[in-house]
Amino acid sequence: MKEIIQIKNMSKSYGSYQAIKDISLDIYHNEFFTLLGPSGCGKTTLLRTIAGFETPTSGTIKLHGQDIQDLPAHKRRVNTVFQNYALFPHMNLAENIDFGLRMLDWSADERAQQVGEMLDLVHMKQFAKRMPSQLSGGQQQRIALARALAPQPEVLLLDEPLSALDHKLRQDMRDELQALQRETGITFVFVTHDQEEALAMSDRICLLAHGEIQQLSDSIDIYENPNNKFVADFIGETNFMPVSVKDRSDDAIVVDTPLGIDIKVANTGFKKGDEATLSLRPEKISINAKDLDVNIEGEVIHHRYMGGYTHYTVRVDGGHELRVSRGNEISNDIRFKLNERVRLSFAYASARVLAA
Amino acid sequence: MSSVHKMKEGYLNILGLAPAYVVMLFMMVIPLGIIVYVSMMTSDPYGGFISEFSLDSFQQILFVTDWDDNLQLDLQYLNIIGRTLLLSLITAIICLCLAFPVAFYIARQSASRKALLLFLVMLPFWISMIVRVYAWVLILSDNGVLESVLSFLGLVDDMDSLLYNNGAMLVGMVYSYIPLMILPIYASIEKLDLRLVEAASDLYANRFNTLFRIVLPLCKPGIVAGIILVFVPCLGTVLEPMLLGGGKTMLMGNLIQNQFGVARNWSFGASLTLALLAIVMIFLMLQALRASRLKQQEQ
Repeated sequence: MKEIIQIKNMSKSYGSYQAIKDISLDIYHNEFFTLLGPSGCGKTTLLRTIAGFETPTSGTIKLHGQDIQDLPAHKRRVNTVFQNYALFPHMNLAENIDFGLRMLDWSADERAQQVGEMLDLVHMKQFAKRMPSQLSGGQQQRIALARALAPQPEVLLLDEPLSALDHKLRQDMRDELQALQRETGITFVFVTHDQEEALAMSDRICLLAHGEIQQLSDSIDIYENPNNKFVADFIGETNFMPVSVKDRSDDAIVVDTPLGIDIKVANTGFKKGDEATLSLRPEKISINAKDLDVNIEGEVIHHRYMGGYTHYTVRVDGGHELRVSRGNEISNDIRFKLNERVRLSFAYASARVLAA
Repeated sequence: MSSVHKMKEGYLNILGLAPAYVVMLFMMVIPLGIIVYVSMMTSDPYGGFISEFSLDSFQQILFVTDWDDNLQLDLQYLNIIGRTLLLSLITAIICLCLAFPVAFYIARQSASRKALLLFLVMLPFWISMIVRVYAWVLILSDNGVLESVLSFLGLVDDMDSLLYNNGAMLVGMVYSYIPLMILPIYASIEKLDLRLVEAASDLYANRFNTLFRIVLPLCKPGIVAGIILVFVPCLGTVLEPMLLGGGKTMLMGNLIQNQFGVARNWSFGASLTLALLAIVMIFLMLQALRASRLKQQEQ
């Protein structure tokens, strides 16, 4: 894997507010890279420093091994798809797409051909002469993509491009974006606050909070093996419980849980007597199914039907509440009723122990 | 029942709009009617007019009658109209060039600074126009403020008078009307989405291209409004030619004023007024036509 963007020890402050705190990360060629985090985590600031709209307070950004942190935006071979598209309202769609090519002094023939290809790429050929105000959100989105891809940038930056679309369209656009990335082979740096979006599309996800990297790994790893409580909480849903380490061996620890049972999990650097947090995802717990490492009984106190699956809240004997989700595999299947006694089972391997 | 109700509503509408109609009637329709009436009457050499139909005053704009009662083309008034148009246009262009950076600067300030700067832009309107234009007489006159300063600095010895020429009028007109250019341009820059500027620089446009291909086209409504707001009152301006032009170089405004004053030719004054009105209307209609064509294109 070859790095295309290398960020080293970058910080960005606005007055006394530190938006980015000493971040270093590499982005690879042909990668769908996602910057994920809640609002105010610094993901957009990071994107804007790559685009050239912000100058880092300290640190370096390299594009293809060349320092670009002092280069103005119009001299960087990166293009941006803006959150609200920022199409030029006084130009038609073809002119919008053509703008970057014109600024790069492409010949008229090349420009015409590229604009045509880009319109084809986003299935908008018949709209070439329309004005941006005549388009729907999804169509504007496509033109914004075409405009940013037309000059064949080294890296395409996408600033929450799907957030203004409705749910159904957003899901379609996910597939389209991913296909587009594979087709063009351009590195995508995608900013979002939507963890589902990030999991669905990314090769790698960088989860940020308070201007710091919380975890940088692929979708599966970030969901299954969160680094800390914040990651486990931000990505997907989970049950947290306070635990204390009762015993440890070289490769495993035994923790004491509020469920009234001890759980044996892989040792990730805890000592005997440490206070920690156990994270257990709702879908890893099965109801009234075959026995696993842990089997406990409880009572359904709440359920929420979600269509494809149902969320249950079960109060286990001893008082602790667990959230459990179960896929609705068979139509009109008998679901568990309120106050029904159920048996919950999960494997040791599903639990993760994190710092308290 | 419903038709009665509708009628009642109709009456109410008319009643509600009545004050506006009354104002329009007394402030616009009647005065304009009087002007049209006077323009078509015979002028009385002793002032006022004689109620006798005649179109001589319109003819007078372009022709003079010689001793043998032959009409001869006379360009002196056409010259004045031409000079008025030219000076007004130059004023509008200079105002645009000066106002755009000012408006841009103001639009980029914090809210409280914006309010202060806009207040300063409008401040001169609180002072009588005569005083403000007269101030330029003091600045530009022989041994006036400008010459005193320059000669004190040793930059000039003996200056030719800066007053009583086209340049002096231009300075006065630009000074008087520039706020009318700054305000509409400020309003359109204020509305400008700065992300579009970022998008332009993201797409490899340098400052020059961003200004001419993105910022200026998007500020066009404000620029057009500003040009009209400056150009139109310039056409009828009176004080600048009177005080700074010294009455030597006439513009339409003081030409008309003279007809009602010293020249005692009300009918001619009225027809010149209508000519000025026609010129203004032509420009406004061209603009309206352009605007409606643009709107159609967009649909």
